[in-house]
Amino acid sequence: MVFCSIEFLVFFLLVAAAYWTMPSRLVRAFLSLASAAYLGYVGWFCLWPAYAAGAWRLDAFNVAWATLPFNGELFFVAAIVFFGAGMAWAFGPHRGRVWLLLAASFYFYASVTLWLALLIFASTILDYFLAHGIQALKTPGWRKALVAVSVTANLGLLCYFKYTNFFLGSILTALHRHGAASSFHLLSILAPLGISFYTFEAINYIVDVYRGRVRAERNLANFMLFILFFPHLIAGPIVRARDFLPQVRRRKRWDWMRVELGARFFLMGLFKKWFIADRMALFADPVFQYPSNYSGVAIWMAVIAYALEIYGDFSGYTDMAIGTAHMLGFHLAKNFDMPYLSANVAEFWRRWHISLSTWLRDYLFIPLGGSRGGKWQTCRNLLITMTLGGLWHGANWTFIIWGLLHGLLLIGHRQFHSFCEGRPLWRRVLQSGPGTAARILTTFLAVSLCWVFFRAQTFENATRMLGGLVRSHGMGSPMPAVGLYLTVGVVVICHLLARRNLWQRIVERLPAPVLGAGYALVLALCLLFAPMTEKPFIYFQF
Amino acid sequence: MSVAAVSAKHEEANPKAPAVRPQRRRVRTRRSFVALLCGVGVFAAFQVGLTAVIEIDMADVRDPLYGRRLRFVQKSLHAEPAKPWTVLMLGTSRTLYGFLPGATEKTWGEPAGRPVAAFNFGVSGGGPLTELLIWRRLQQDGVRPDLVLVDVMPPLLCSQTTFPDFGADHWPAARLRWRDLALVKRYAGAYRPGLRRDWLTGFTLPCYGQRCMLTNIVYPKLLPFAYRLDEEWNVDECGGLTPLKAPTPEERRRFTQMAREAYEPFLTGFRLGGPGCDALCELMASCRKEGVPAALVFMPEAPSFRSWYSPETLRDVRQFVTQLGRENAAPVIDAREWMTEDDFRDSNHLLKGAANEFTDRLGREYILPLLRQQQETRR
Repeated sequence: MVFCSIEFLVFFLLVAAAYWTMPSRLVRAFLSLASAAYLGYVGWFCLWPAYAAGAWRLDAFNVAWATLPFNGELFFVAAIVFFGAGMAWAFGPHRGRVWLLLAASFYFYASVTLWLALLIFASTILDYFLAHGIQALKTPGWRKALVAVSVTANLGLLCYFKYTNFFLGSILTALHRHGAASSFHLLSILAPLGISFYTFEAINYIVDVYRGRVRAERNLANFMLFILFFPHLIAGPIVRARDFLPQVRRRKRWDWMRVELGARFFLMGLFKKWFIADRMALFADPVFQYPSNYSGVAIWMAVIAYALEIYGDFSGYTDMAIGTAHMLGFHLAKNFDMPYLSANVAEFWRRWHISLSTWLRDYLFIPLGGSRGGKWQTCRNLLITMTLGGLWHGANWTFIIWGLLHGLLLIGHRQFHSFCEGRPLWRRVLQSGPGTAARILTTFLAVSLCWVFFRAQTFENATRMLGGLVRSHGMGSPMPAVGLYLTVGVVVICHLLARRNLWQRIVERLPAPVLGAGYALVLALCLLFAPMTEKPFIYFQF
Repeated sequence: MSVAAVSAKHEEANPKAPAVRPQRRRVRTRRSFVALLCGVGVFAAFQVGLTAVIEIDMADVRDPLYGRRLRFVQKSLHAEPAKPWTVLMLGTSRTLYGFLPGATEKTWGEPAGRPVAAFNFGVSGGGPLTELLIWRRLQQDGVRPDLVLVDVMPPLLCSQTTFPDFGADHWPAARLRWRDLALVKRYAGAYRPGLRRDWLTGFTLPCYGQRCMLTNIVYPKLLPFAYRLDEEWNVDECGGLTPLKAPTPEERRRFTQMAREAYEPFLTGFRLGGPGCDALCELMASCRKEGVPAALVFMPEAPSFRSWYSPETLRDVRQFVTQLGRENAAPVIDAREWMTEDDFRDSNHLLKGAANEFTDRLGREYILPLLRQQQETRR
């Protein structure tokens, strides 16, 4: 189930309706009865044919199940509502809401794979008890040992699911290159969705408890909701315990302003995903697949298109996550801040995937020594941090090279910055209007070229792409170029409007009905430009 | 940052403190409520309006190819002063590219006693199920032709076929009418789960369900080439698309190989039966019931294609089609051997010149006699 699907819409509307109406006893009674009645109806509808077919035939059950609306999704939503209402009767509406969201989050994840959802559940429970152990113990050695256990368990899971085959594959390739025969094979491993994200969340919680910045959460449901909360579970943003846990504890009130804000974020995300990212994928995907067939112009167009695609895709997902969370009364941190308007690479990383870059800064770069040591030490730390950041994205040499390139760009920027320090003329020129524009353009180009390694399936493909940038022959763009120009134009206009906060000012001044009509128009445009075939979010693979 | 965002942040930082001034907050809350309400209202009104326009006024949007052809047929049926003979050919892509009445139908008028208007209703990727669907639609739209020719493509009469011409690729829910659903469900329910839901989604959210067609109308350049319907908007007055041009020898070899890979396994391990046969039987029975004369046509095939049939396959298909024709008083026209290898693009799709030649011969040898026969029966 993904955000931009009818299944998610039905799931979210029903869960949100139950969530907000739960405090009323009358409504809660209705929810309990209605969901119980629906569960009973489905049970009868599916079990009776199986029984009537003789000896509880599974195939008869499956046939009946397949005819249920939304492939049985309503059954699970009814079960979630029934469970939430039951918890609300037992422990009060606030606790009921937490359990409702927890059940919904579990279902959201389990709709992909049940066993992997159970695995996350188990690892979350382990972290809960370890955090309590760390807080309760006084001996530093034991505390450190528990942190080590938690970090090892989390990273162990991450490494096993994500990197085992990568390392085995690399060893196999190396052996074959040197003519050695090997008897081991790659394993058949299915990585849990979003494992990189919740691993980092669990680690930051444990480390923060160890450092005394956060108290270990007493309530298991609250802690599990922090890890499993469905809007951020699969592709972030990576939330911090100190930001999220207080929100879980606080009682929520319905707020139209917040709902509108959530709807606005969601629409913005949908627009970015369907209008920008999926449209740009039509330019980028065929070229990245067979770079040798295309001309330099087509390759340049694909490079630019991919830069826009990944921005629209990832920031679109984040916006939808933030919007969904707002509609449930939660605030998730901003993850993108117009990164392509950055004037240098360091600024880019302050605006791109903010939750990851701050995590890497706080839990990797600074513990490594940050920029406190000498010049060489800082450069080393930057390289290590960015390379590991690249590896975090995916188990492939292309990601490692991508991280390494960004590390080198950051080092280059630091050197250039210190070079300009004592040269006022250089600084004046670079900070003038044209100078800033040139810096933005240079940064955009550098980042876009680095994306080639991020997107290419293999190192060879990436080099073929880069080599083809100057090729004069070959096929043209796989789509009429007007689509790319139109999208670039829309992105540029939106950025310019947002840069001086004009966008916000326009929205605030519009009469409410006009604003509402604007929302309707954007939604209609999103639907009109939805891709013909569903394209998963890029960051789901991480 | 908006007031709501500020308020949300403020509330988190200091939950007990009032977020913003109460009066301002009340105004903002009302504004948000009105904006959301208007947004939902305008969106719903837009969708309802668009649905109404599509269903009432723009039948072409759902299925442009059928819509255009229907319009031409209806124009012909209401022609004054002399109503022409109306001949329709239902079929696959073989018909689509092989039956080109535009060039020759004018010459049929004199021998037939009055003008003849022949229409191509071939559909790329079609088969017996598609033919039945088109026939049902024509009946619903009040079209009663004087003669129906039905293309019989033997590989599609095979029970183990993997060419479900009711698949989502050829017949996405958005392209179907409400009244088509029962038929599609009956023949292809097993591999089209959620068809009604998809259709209803497209009906209630035409912006989404009909996005391909709407974009094709407004600005087709924004669509990938695979989804462009430029050709379907430009069918000629006989319902035909641009005829196929001659390929290079290398292209012909490649296309023929592709056709072989697609069809040969079914022709050698052929088992007669399945939904294709059922649909053909239903179509012929319906024509007989309606009193519309029909004929079954084996379209031309290149010698290479013919060599892929096993003798048993050919015997089974011939027996079945002959029996079907006899039961429904429909002649069987076997044009499989009318053309040579060079007349085809890929051993089963005729090139432009050959298609004209085939249509002319079909008209002279079969269509005209059948029409004359009808004229005499009516006298």
